[in-house]
Order: sequence, then structure tokens, then C-alpha cells
Amino acid sequence: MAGTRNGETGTGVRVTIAWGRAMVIAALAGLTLPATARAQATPPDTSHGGMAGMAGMPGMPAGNAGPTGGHRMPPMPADIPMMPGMESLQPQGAPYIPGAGMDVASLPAGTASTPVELKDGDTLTLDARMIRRTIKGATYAMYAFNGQYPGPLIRVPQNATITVRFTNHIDLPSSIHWHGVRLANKFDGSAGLTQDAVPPGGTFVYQVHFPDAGLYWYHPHVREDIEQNLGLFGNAVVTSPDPHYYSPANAEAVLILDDLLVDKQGIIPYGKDAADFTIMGRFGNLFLVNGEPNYHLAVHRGDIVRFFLTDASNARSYNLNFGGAPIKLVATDLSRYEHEQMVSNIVISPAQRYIAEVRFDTPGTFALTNRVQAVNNYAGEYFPEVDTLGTITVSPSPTTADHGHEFATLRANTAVTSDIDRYRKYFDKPVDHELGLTVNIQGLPNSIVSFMIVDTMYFSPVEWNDGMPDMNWVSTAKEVHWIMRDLATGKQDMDINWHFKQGDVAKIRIRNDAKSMHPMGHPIHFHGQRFLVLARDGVPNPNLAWQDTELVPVGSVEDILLDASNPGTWMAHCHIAEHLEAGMHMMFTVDPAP
Amino acid sequence: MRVDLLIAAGAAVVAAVAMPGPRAHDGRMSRPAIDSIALEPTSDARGASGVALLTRSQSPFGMSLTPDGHLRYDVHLHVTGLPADPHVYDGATAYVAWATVPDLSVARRLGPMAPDGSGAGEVDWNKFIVIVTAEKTGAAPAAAPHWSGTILLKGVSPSTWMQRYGSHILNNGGNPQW
Repeated sequence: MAGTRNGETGTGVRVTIAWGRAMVIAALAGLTLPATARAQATPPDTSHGGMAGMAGMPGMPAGNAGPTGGHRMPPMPADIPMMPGMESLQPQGAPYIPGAGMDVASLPAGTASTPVELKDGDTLTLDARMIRRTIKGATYAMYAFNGQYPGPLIRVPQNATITVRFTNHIDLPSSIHWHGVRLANKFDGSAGLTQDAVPPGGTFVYQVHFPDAGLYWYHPHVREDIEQNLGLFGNAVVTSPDPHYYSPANAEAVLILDDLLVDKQGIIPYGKDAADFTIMGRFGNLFLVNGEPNYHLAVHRGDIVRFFLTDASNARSYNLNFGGAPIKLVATDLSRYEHEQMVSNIVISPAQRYIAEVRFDTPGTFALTNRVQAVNNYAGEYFPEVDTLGTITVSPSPTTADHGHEFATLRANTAVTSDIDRYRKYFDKPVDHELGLTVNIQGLPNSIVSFMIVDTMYFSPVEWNDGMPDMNWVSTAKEVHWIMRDLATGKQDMDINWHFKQGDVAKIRIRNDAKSMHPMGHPIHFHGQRFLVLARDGVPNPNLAWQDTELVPVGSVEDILLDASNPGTWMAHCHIAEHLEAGMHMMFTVDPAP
Repeated sequence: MRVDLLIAAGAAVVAAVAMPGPRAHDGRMSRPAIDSIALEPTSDARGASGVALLTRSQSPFGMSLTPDGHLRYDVHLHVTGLPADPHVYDGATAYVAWATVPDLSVARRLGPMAPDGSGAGEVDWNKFIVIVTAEKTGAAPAAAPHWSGTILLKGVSPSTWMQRYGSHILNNGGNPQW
């Protein structure tokens, strides 16, 4: 029953406090409560959770099935105790529990992702439906495209156009966003902007044109915090007609990273009416690579493997290591880099992609790990966190084709540089738009606000873990408003609609406010276009590549150059799913050239 | 040292003097900047001041991390008010910048300070202290593991402001009553 905190709404929950008393307490602490953090008089919400405790009782089914269910507090990490005063709190609104009321055993079992080779003009049918997955002995009701987790791996030649017939068989409206693909606006999949959400039982036909070689992914653009987290995502690898586009490798491996938040009773419920975990996003405690907790790859000594990496997590950024094997960074979202370079580890944030070649020279078994310096907010300390995502076994037998020389050669990609050369005249142009990233928090229980104030003295540029899961869990999109603000006009979020002419090249400066109530790093994604990161904190980027998503750490200033070449009204947003649900999205329009 | 960093350093020195501690203003949270360290003089260097600006070390990923996940910072120092000739400090021949961890168990020589008061180095610790000392060249070669001269300026990294909740008055008694 550990971690279950339900139905205790009788005392101490969102009770009205006297503002003066709060000020006295804060003054004693040497702090001043911000106006935005004032406790609101909110009546206890007793509309949910009443039977939640039953879910963990003997005889109740494992997994997230069950005739009833309520919110469940996420498991607290061993060294991070629950904050005093948190025992009776839970998110506002009803929980969403996938498969609640269903016989999970009756759901079809999910299968591993299967590659599908498509050519120009081909049609792919994708249907989203509920499946049954068993991971580490626990059974969960989850979602999948075509029953596959992740969805089918699409392999398609550059410049191909395919038709995708999507049918929505899940219990929520949905859509498919083709992340990073510069396709026609009406097929972008941004529900509410480029199309209506596809209702349960509904269909939508996408024409997906792939103009750029590289690695892309697809996922819903409706309640990503739920639908994407439960498995609705897949990759598209777009191959160049140039056989030497990449250096030779002995194998290719497409890896999608994801994390699920579970306890012994199943997946921690989601917010039904509004996303929960909106302060930091939902950090999982069950790490999955391609949907599996024990990814394994077997190679020969001296093999070079080209990895195609995607972070499909709601909120987690990773620091990937391949057991110390040397890594050559080749490409990112929409293109190769101007220059290949060796790196010792790969930092990847939600929605980002990297293509990297790794040489395995030493026989043995090596761990694919995520290594970060996590924060224990309670203790005010860092601690090393090592998450083993999988293993790579290197056999003593030598590779059948030694590409060591090519691996050691760092190529200059002249085609990339030539393409970028057309934009260099814009590098020093004045900033066209300045975008501020910040947050407004109102109405959270005062106990949380107080602890957050205590916690405000320092924020890591990027949150590598959830160091305050109890407080994060309770925060919903009803109380937390993540903001994109046009710093020139003061407009916010979807009131912003920048206009460009097709062919414009715009310099956008993004500032991540370090003085907000709870600053966080944000992976900012622009739909339908590509951009260059010109400078980070005023330091020019020496090795450019075309991107669609850039991590903007706390307190930093990033200059990007947007190639506004694809007409339509598009979305830009933070790709932490809960931040998107909590308002952090805006529009921009590329008007077609006459 | 780049001009923009010098200007930023100057501004940060002014800001550090004008706003030495956390306070609230304009309804937003006030806290020490996460990218600068105010260097406070010791009793041996009254009148001196300085700042250490932290920038992300170059990385294709934007964030530069060591394999075990430590953030890598470039540290850009700018110091004013020290005697032009360090010889006044027990015959020292150079001002040297260092970084060390809070328990002082390990240290790293960031490098000598230039005559214009600038210095630079790299740090990849979670919490750290930046200090400037007066060293005799022979006593603090480039490979020296620790300083041996007089400490003149010191400042803690913004991350050291992160403190234990339990030490806070709000937690006395274990369960706040509202």
C-alpha cells in the first residue's frame, strides 16, 4: 500500500489560510511569498479517489485495470521522503486510468515494432488501439499503433510521399503529428490548429511528404501526456539517395527512449480533465528502450553500429553512455552536422533525435546507461543516478568488415555547409522576435507553495530527475500555467501568431526566465520548419545542423534562425508533454509566396 | 577575454554589490543568478571585488555533461582592486584562480589571473567554491593540486544555495499547520 494516498480530504487540503499568517511564516523564514503563489480558497475535492485504496488490496487485479480507481501518489525515491503536509493531497479533478473497468486480459497482446519499407506513393494503415503489455511481470493496458510498441518503424526514401490512413480506436480523441517533417500544413496533425482531433472511431488520411533525409518520429498531438506516454509513437527513417550519406557501418539500430511511471498496482493514473505533474513533467521509474526494459544488442569486436536515437519521454532528458565506447556524432533532427565530431556521451531531451556511430572494440558486455547528477530537493543535494537501459554484448570474434579507418575519419559534410551558406548572410541580422519562457502558479495548496519557496534558491539548468515527486504530482494544468511570452508585445501562448512570408529567414531569441517560481529547461519545438541554433548564451555555435527542437536551459538565451519556408499556420511549443498541456504553446504563420 | 564577457562581468559586479542577497521584487522570485558567482574579499584583500561568470562549455548538445553527468562550466573571472604587484603578499609572484569543493578535499587550478584582472578555467563539480590566491610561482605550478598562498577572494557556486528542506523553520515540528 506504500504510496497510496487517497480519499483523505477531510483536513488540511487546500484549506483557506490567512494571507497575513502566511506572510508571518514566510517572514520568519526570511522569505517573501510572491503574489503569484498566494494560496487560493479552494474547497476540498471529494469527487474522486474514494475507492482508490482498494486497488492495492489483496484480490484486486495487478496492472491498471479495475472497476474503480483513483489517484495514486507516485512512489517516492528511497532517499526522498514525502514532504510534511503532503499526505492528504492529490491532484484536482478525476483520474484517467487506461483500461479502467476493462478486463485487461481480454486485450490483444502488444508486439514489438516491425519495420515497414515504403516507397513513394505507398499507403500505410495505422490504427491506434488499446493493447495489453507485460513488462517485468506486470501487466498494463496501454496504447499502440497497429498493436506494436513502439509503432511500426517506417523506412522511406527521401522525397517520397506516402498516404497514411489513421483510425482511432482508443477512448480519447487523437491525431498523428509527424515530428520534424516539413510536410503540408493540413497534415501536420496539430489537433485544434491544422485539423480537428480524430474522435474515437474516427479516421483521418494524411499525405506525408519527406523532403529531408534523417530520423523523424510520429506521435499524437492530443493529450501527449497520456497518449504518447502510453505508447503511441514510432520512428520514420528517411534514407538519402546518396549511398555515402553516412560512413559505412556494420549495423544500424533504431532506439526510442521512454519512461513509464508505475507502482505495484500499475501505471500511475493521469489527470483526466487536466494534465498532472505539470510543474516538472512526468518522470518515469520504468525505463524502456523500444518498449522493453532490457534492450540488448549483440555485435562483433570492431563492429561499428549506427544508432538512431529518439527521446519519446514526457519530460526526461538523458545522458547516454555506451559503456565507454567511442561515439561519433553524425546528425541530429533534420540534417547531418557540418562536421562530424567525437563525443564521450550524448545528451538528448524530449523530442530530440541524434544519429551517432559507436565502435565496439573490446569484447565483453557493456551497459547502455543514463548517467546524471540527480537532485534530492529534500536534502538539497546531488546524487549520482545510473539507469541501465540495456546491454551490448561484444563477441571476441572480429568484425566481418572492418570500417575502423572510416570511423576514425571525421567527415566534413560539404553539402550541409553549402546549404547553410545560403543563410549565413542572415546570421548577424537583428532579432525579429524575442520569446520568453516562464511560469505562473496559482492555487496550489499552500504547503506545496511554501516548500517551493524554500526550494527557490537554486534551479539546475536542466532537471534530470524528479526530486519532488509528491509536489509535482499534485500540480495540474489548473494551477500551473507554463508561458511562452512575446517579449515585444506581451502576448502569450496561443495569442501569439507571428507572421512570416514564405522564404523569410527570421532570427528568434529565446530567453528562459530564471526568476520564475519554478524555472525549468524547455525543449522548444517548431512545427513544419527547420532552424539553426546560431548561439547559446551569446557564444556562436561552431558546428551547425538543421534542427526542429532545441533544449533551452534555465537562465539561458538562445538565438535560432528559422527557415520559414513551409506555408501554413503552425505551432511552436515546449515538448515536455505536461508543459504543453499547461499552456506552453504558440502559433506562427508562414504566408505563401505570391 | 572577450569584450562581451568583460562587460557582463562588470555588470555582474555592480549587481552583486547592489543586491547581495535574495529578495523579492515585482512579484517574481529573487534568487542569486545561476550563472555568476560574486567573489568576496577576505580580510587580506579589503577593497577587492570580483565575479566569476559561468557559461556552458561548448557542446553539440547545448548542455555539456561529463560521462557521469556533471555539468561542465567555463568559468570567466574578473577581479578588481588587488594590488598590481602580488609581491606584497609574502613575496607572491602571481594571482591564481582555483576551484574547490565545499569540503575543500580536492581543488583544481583554474589558471593565473591576467594583468587586466581576468582569468578562466573549467569546472565540472556539482557544488564548488572559486577562490583567488596570491602564489609564488614555484609553489603553485600548473600541476599543483592545491593552493599554498594567501586566499584573497572567494565565492560559492549558485548550486550551493540549494539547501535541505528539513533545516528550514517551516519544517520544525515535522508537519506544518496551516
